[in-house]
Amino acid sequence: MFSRRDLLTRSGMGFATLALADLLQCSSAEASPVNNPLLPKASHFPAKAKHVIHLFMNGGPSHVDTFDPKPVLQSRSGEAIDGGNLKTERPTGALLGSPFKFKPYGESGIEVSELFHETAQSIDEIAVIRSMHADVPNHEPSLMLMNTGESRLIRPSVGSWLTYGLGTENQNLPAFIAMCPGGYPIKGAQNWQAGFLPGIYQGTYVDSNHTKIEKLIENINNFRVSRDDQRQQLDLLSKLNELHRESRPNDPKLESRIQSFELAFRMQSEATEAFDINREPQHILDMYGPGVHARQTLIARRLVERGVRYVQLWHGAGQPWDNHDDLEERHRSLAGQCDRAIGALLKDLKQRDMLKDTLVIWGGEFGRTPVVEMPKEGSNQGKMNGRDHNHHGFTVWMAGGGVKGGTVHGSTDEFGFKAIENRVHVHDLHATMLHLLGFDHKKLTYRYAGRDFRLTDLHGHVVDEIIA
Amino acid sequence: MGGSRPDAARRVIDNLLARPEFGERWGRHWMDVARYADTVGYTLANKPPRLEGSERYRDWLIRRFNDDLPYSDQIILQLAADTIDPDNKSGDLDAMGFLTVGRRFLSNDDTIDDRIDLVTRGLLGLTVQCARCHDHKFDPIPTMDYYSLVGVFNSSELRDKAASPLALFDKEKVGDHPVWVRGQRGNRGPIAPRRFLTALHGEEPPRFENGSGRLDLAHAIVDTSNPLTRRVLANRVWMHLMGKPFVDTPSDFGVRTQQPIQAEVLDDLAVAFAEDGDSVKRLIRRIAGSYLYSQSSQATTDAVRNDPDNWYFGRATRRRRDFESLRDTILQCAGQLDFRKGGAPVDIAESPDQSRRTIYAFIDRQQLPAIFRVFDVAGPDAHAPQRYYTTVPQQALYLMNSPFILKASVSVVDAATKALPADATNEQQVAAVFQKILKRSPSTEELRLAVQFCRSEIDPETVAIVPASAWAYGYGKLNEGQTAIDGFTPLPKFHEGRWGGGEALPDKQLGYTSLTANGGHPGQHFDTVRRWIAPRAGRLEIAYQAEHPSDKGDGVRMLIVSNGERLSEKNVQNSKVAVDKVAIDVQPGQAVDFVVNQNGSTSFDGYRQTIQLRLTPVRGLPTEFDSLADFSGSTDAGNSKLLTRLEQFAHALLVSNEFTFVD
Repeated sequence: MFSRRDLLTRSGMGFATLALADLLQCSSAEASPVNNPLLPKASHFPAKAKHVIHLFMNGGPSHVDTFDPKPVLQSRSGEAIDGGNLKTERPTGALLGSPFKFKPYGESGIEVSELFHETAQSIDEIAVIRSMHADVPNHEPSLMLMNTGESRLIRPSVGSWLTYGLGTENQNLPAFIAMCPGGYPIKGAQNWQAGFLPGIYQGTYVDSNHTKIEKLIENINNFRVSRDDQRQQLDLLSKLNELHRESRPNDPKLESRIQSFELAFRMQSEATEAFDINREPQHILDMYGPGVHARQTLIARRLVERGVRYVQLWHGAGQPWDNHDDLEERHRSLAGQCDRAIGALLKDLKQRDMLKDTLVIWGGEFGRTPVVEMPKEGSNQGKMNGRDHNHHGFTVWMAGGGVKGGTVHGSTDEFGFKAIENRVHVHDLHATMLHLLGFDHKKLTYRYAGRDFRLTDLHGHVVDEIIA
Repeated sequence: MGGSRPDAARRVIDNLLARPEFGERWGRHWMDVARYADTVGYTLANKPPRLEGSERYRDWLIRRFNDDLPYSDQIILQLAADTIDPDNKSGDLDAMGFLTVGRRFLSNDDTIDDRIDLVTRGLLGLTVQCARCHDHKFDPIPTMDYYSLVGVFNSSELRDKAASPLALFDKEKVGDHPVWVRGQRGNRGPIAPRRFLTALHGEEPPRFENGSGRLDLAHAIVDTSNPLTRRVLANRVWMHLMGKPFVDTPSDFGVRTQQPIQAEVLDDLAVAFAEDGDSVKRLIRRIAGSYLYSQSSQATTDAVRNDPDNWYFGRATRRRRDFESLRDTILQCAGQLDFRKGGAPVDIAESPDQSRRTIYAFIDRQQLPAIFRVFDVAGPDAHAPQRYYTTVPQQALYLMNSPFILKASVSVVDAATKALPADATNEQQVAAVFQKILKRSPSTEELRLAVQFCRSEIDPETVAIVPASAWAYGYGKLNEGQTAIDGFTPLPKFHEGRWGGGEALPDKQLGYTSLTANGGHPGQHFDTVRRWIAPRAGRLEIAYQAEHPSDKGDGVRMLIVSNGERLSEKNVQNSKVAVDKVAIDVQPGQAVDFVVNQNGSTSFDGYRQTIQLRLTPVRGLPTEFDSLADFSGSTDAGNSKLLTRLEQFAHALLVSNEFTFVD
């Protein structure tokens, strides 16, 4: 048995013997029981970007077929690279020229392939980062890296960090929404997870194939109490709660819960309205075009317009851009599904004067090899017309929200295999995003398990060259 | 509470401690510590994510908390039951779920890291995980200590065909592990001997001698010379009972943690806990029997101003019920709570009829249902020191509209009023509902407000429409002018996704006449009729896409008729057709019929058709209908009976602050 004296003196660490701990104030406001943690908060410094729309081309779009033209790749198509290929996930062979035509667009003259002809109309608003790189050539860790800054361990997603940092401007809508038509991307909800942040910072998943509001937002409709009756019911509730509160003064928890019902009541009509693109005039519907990508892109604009902080649009369930074979046909089809809507989004944001405070990001978890993938039993058997994963070099572009449009930053080697000039790691992209939204990435921290965590961990440099 | 005897409070406490639900409540608290889930997390293609046997750990916790197994023994079993009950004869091997119900990472290093974090933060209040890549920045935890524990867990493995799927056993070959310098695999540093943390045992703790060392580790943790284990536990128990802990980082007692104001009280409790043989029930009895616990949450303005966060425990801390308590109490009031214990986890997120206690909910780690996050249930991704208590509108949305709460509101009124006479007054009904939900009588003002509410008429006009309820599936015959259906008759039988004449196709009387979710087949004598009936007056916009896929036969004729008018007519043969932008005004009850006629011969007349409708009612919200999504094999589409005013009132009480907060 141990005595009380033992207990106290044996505390080699622990609080009891450590006066120095008194110097350190350690309380986290977000754990406070009173807060609505989603109320708007100030960033570290004033910033242009207030909202983010992240167009996630999951599976990994090929940069050398979209935003990173490589004349040498064309001229030497079919030849082997001297010194061999960089290691990627699967065996690869000779250089494979792009089947798509590039041409310059806009005043900046930046070359974009025919796949993104409509997007390219707004190239002067876009900063193309051609020197992105990540850590490994596999989907799962690269998705986690792009979305949370950490390949393997459980960490909060970018959208969760931003809603933690900024709250949201419209309490009647979720702060962070992830839309994906037809199901989940691989890794599912981990892509928009809150990690160790409070659960309310988690992205709200919406299957944008649905058109009915009750399929989009849980419990948004009541099929057994009419809206007018519910108003009267909430009035009664509010009076009963007031009577309860009269004898319990000085407790803001009670008041904030009363308010939460009023917010929820308004959310019912506001969310329904926000997701209903039928309320758009015909010329706007025509501009975005037909199909689910047009619908979810237009919904994204409507959400941001109403104050939603972060919208992530996934291309589709699984990993649609992962074209190990039949790349020409499949990339054409995939780009065909979203290019018009993305082009429309950029123009639409611009004409509404929303582009200045909306950061639009386009990219996948990595790019693809400039060399052909070798056929493999069970996957792309008998075909040599696709590209393998490539984390050594790829392209991400950003527009709006204080980004310097019409710029190209960094470059890959002559074939497009590896980022060589002004390399931008995913951590640097995150640091830049946070900067554009008003945060010093080294100071946006959360105390968890004895440590102050940040999105960029111990890394990250802001890419000043693409900031206006 | 419990009558007027002087020991009344004590008797209530003893009764509650003796109830089998005690283990369900405190087992759930421990499941937060143990990052409990029923799935392993993300899996590569085709591997089932279910964590086999997870519920056995949950049920072990419930049982052992009820038995009041000493905490030190609980820890030893949770870390090393393989050395004590290897064949699971007493069921204790399942205790090792503590280590193994965590996420199974794709890399074993990370799974081990998660287990080290669980054991050190969960049991010792030390953030040893910080030392994976470098010596701990603040606490005296060198990297060597982290890899000492890696050696322990790296020497342990799951085995196929073990007596419990949750058990770890020592590997054939056990051994020490090198430090990975800067945490990088393969970047070898010195070998880290398997032993306990240096900070808790002086410079050179003895090496672990038994196999992997898990048993030695467990003994080192529960050793009474260890200053942390019991204080960490006492702090957790205090937190659950009092609404806030002494040390507000309950899993980090490191040097950066501020000394709590009542450190001595915590020390007293920890010592008493040890002297009581590590009995959790005695610790609870000690705290719950204290003056501090018996205080009211009522506070003067001065008291609140001087100590807004109540760090001095000068009053009780008013608490929002956690999700489990809220849901279980609602079920209990509604007379629905299912008291069965243990067993396989059940879905509660998608099943409003599920009435098992919330502790038995299926926890899918990878796709955790939104309701758990919205109500601040501990995330199962890592050890959770304490829960957040947020107030967000998504909670209110669930409490206003979910099928679960609406069903409970109806049931609670049934339960409250069944003893009342048939001619009971509104006053009597309201009082009975008050008693049922809040366990008290209403005040004069509350009674007045509630009765006034219950006497008003409900207004069904603006209720959300259940789309499936607007459709009927039948057959009939186009009239001569082809403007209406004569003799609409519902198809009598739903079988294998198809409305038809009977189970067999063709049916003796109706032949091939049938309707499916996305199409159908007209009969020789009858046209198929997919009928939509306007639930209320408004403007209806109609669109459909259809196809007659066969290149044989004479195709089909598709018509839309309503109110004696033909709105559209299309012949379709081996082709596709789309109709768009047909709009009409409809009155309540007006039928809009989507008719398909065999066009001469019924051979090869299978067709596809999907219809989208949008009704903008004169009052209320626009509603969309989709023949594919709304298709149903039931004629009673959804439990959509409207709540009465009394039920609406009961609903309001169930979501009231008085019900939700514990004073």
